[in-house]
Amino acid sequence: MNLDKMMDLPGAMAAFTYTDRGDLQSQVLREGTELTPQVLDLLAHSCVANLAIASMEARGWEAVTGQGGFQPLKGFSVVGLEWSVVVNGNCGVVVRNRDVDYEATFKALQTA
Amino acid sequence: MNIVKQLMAIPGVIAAGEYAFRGDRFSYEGALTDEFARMASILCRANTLSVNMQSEMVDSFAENCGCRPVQGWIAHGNQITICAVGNYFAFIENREELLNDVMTIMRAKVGDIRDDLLVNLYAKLGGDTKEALY
Amino acid sequence: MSLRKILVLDGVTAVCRFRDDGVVMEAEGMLPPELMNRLATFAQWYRRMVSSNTDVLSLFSQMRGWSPSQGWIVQGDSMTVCSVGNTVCLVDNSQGSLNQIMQALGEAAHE
Repeated sequence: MNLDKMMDLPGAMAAFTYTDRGDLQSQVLREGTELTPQVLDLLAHSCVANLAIASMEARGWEAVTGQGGFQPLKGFSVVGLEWSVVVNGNCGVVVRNRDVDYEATFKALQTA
Repeated sequence: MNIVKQLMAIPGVIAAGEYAFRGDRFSYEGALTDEFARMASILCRANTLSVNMQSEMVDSFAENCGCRPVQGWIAHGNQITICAVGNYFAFIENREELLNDVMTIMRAKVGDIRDDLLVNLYAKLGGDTKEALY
Repeated sequence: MSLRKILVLDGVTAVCRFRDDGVVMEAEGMLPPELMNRLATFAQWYRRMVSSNTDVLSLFSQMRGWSPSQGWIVQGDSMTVCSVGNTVCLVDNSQGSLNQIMQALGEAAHE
């Protein structure tokens, strides 16, 4: 996982990896950001929960409606006021909303 | 132009609509049945509550870290993505540039969501924001 | 049921009843006011979250019996937080009976 490369994404403020349980494993922070490893650890835990819930919802939706195309989940993003956190698998990126390219970010997380 | 109509005018947007807090009031356009739209409304409510709760928690441990108030969320599926901003949702195909366009429109048209989530969720579709929910 | 009757149960260290907006209505136990407020806010958010997740589970499982949700339990290493309705308490894991506490919370919540 090349976190430095993730930092090249538009608006990237931080890139991080985490365990399946959400414990922060590694991080790269943009200089001057107010984000800290402690905040990233909290975010990582919530993102693991969100990915699990979204996967459950994708599975349930496809089963009940017969509509495909949702599984397997390719990522989740929480859009805050000034920034968004985008995650997939065991990697996440925090990006500034005014510069964000959601597609590029999700794409980068697929190959990560 | 109405947000939903504007979204539905974009190729690749499968469905778009509004949902209310209880999931009992919603409106939509596009390739959903009434029942699927009701389900989508319940889903959107669940995820919106979840991410709002998480951002409150994160904010209580790391004040002014910039995540609050939450504006929305995105669930990126294999071929279909669901976006939610405020009390609007959209189901879209995973086409080039579409997600960015849809998010730009939704964020611009909905405007910044301020702190009172319930007021926001009820405001557009009507309802007593002070009504006790339990 | 008065919250005191819950506080006297073995293991319970603090209990509070909260409003729909997370504000403390009444509280008992040795928790500083600021932490009691945090507990109430957390419990109200958790209640909403659990309630909407059980709705989703009902939807996809097509099973009756999930909704409406009654409460939740988060069991930590040595402490547990549990809630029924709009009442929440902190419990020391080394003492008391979770069954008894949940039952008492249920009675208090329905008053």
